[in-house]
Amino acid sequence: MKTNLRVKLGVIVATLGLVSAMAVVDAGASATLNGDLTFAAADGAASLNPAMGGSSFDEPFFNSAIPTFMSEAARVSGSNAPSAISLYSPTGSSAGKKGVIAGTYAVGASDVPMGTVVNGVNLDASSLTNANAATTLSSYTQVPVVLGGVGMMYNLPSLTKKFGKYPVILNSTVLADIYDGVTTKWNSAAICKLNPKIVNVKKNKKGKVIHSTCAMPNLPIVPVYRADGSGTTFIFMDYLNQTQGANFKTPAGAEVYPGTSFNQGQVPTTALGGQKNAGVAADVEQTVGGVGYVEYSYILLQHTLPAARIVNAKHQIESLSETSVAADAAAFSSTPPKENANGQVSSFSIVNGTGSGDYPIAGYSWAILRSDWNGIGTVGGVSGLNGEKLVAKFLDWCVQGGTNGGQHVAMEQGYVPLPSYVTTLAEQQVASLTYNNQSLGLN
Amino acid sequence: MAERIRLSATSDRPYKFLLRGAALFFGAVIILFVWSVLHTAWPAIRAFGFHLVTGKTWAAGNGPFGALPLIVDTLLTTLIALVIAVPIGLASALALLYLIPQRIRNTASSLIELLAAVPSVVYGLWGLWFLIPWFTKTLEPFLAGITGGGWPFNGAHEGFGVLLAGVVLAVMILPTIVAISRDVISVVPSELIEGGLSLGATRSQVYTRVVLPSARTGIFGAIALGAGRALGETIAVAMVIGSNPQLPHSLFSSGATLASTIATEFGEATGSTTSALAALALMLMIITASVNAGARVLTNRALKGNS
Repeated sequence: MKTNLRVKLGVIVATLGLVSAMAVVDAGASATLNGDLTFAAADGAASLNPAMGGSSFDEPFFNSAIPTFMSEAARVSGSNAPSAISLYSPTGSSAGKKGVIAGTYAVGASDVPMGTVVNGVNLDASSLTNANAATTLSSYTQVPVVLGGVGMMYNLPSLTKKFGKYPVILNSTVLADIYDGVTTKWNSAAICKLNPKIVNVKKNKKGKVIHSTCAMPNLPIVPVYRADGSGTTFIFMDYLNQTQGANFKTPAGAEVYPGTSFNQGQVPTTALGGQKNAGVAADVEQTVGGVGYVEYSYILLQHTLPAARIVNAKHQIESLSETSVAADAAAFSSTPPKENANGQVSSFSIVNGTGSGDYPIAGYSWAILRSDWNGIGTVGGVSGLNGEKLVAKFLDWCVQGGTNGGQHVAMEQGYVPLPSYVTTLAEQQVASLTYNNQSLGLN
Repeated sequence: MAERIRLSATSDRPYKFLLRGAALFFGAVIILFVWSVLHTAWPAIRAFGFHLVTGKTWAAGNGPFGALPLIVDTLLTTLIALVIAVPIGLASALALLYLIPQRIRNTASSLIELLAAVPSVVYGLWGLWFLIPWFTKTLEPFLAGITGGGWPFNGAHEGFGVLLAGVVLAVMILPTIVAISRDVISVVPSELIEGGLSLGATRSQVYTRVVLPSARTGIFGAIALGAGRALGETIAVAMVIGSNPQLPHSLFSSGATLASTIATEFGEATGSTTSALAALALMLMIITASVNAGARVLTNRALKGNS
């Protein structure tokens, strides 16, 4: 099983390496940066330790990227390279945004860009009060760093044993009904209809099928959601809202808009809440009949339970994979995310792509930092031009493809490399960082 | 009760200051602590008022923040824990003192005390990995069979829920109850026991009508300490209760307690959620303090009854 996965990963890495190499060339026209890792003695980077934290979605990436960044930098710059950066704290998206505003993080990460407005409500209204520069959105730069899919992990051991070849197929209507408490059994008509291969067949003597019945187990569905506020919840709810609109509703019948807490607390009585991705995965693993939404690496790296296949906008059945998430992201290339002068990021949602082969539940994660560090004092334990330069070089490296770039690390950890049009945005964002209104002059 | 000791004027003066200083410091810490929780909770209290206590829906993030389900689940899980742990705990204490042979008594005692030192996350994992499969396959179907699937054993057999949380809590508070009630029962004068026996009472009559009543002040204390631990237990409950803040419709229903909700949601909390969580901490403090005060009233009443 493990070697199998390694081989598979190897193939994926090889193919995607090619794709991302092409991507870098493609982006070359407008790209301004190439992940320069040269540090001079004057940069004083060797002893700097910028604190970074936030989204638990990003934990596997950052905690693998930080040591790789330091060793890659050491290869280029020897003893001038940064060597003291601590690991990333997976405190959650909200805590990441809060930390960067409070100055406890040099870089905060969030699955939902800071200052996102949903249905007229600014999700960060309580921290972005415009009282001073630190609480004003336009003081920040937001950089997309990783792309990941959200999987519907389910626990039906008898089914997996018998029909392991055909992972359960679900669509947005069924998912909304499960999380609304409308569909409560795995063998409900709607689920059976989506899964024509999961049947018990009766054949006559000539081997002709005379009778087939749905073989979905007669088990209650236990929906598992994130009990804590979460960017993964936002992506999942965004998907249900965009596909189902008012069909995805509270028990009182009101349309539910995406947010970081699931369905405003209105969940079916049978639902279970889990803390962070790992908690949801644990709840599903312990509950026969359970289904829950988790970030892809939790399915890939733990690989004890299967993920459901999802019917996409083109009515194709797609399983969660690097290819299908990349296809989804590519479907949005004509409307790339961008940050306006106020710091608002628009068009970041990439759920329910309309292209061929799209896995529809996916999203970017964002690294957030102050745009100009002059006069802001210490943030996350570092300060001044040297601090800002180190952090900027780290993010620059993170978004680079190729075998020595951060996106290669992302791929190894179960993410999907950023598509070229997003790499372009990420590089522009890093290049736009200034110190005392002067460009940092990164390469 | 304790007589005031007169300290001699000169030589003990520094000592007196030290003692007073320590007491004042402790008092100041408590006042500052309550003030800071109140201060953080104040915006939520002002914005939501009584709805914080009476509201039936709780959601992290942008609310609504109604803690009624959390309060009910907190009290219910503690009640379940006490219903299980108190009789077993008292019986074990009696057994340890009077029934078990001397040579294994010490080993048994220290084993029980060892249980009190197990970190709560270990109890949580035990609940998650071992009790949940047993609950879903065996215990819950059996209990549902008794009432024919009716209240209070209705609903899906998910394992996660208030009953499981109560059972885990019962195991966690058992050592406290056993250890303390054993100590208070051991000081019941042997004349009382011998007197009872010589009057022709059976051993069980002596234990239930002489020993337990005369040790009742200490036993109330043991129960209050156990209840305090159960009310405030965080991580073990968060791992097994299902973290779905709802009013329980049965003993099998998933829920969330005040303490488990604070632990689960604090990391992601911003603005109003932080304030609402501080309000939960305040409610928890009030509930725990009332339980303690209640135990004190009972103890005092029992003391008066004795004299």
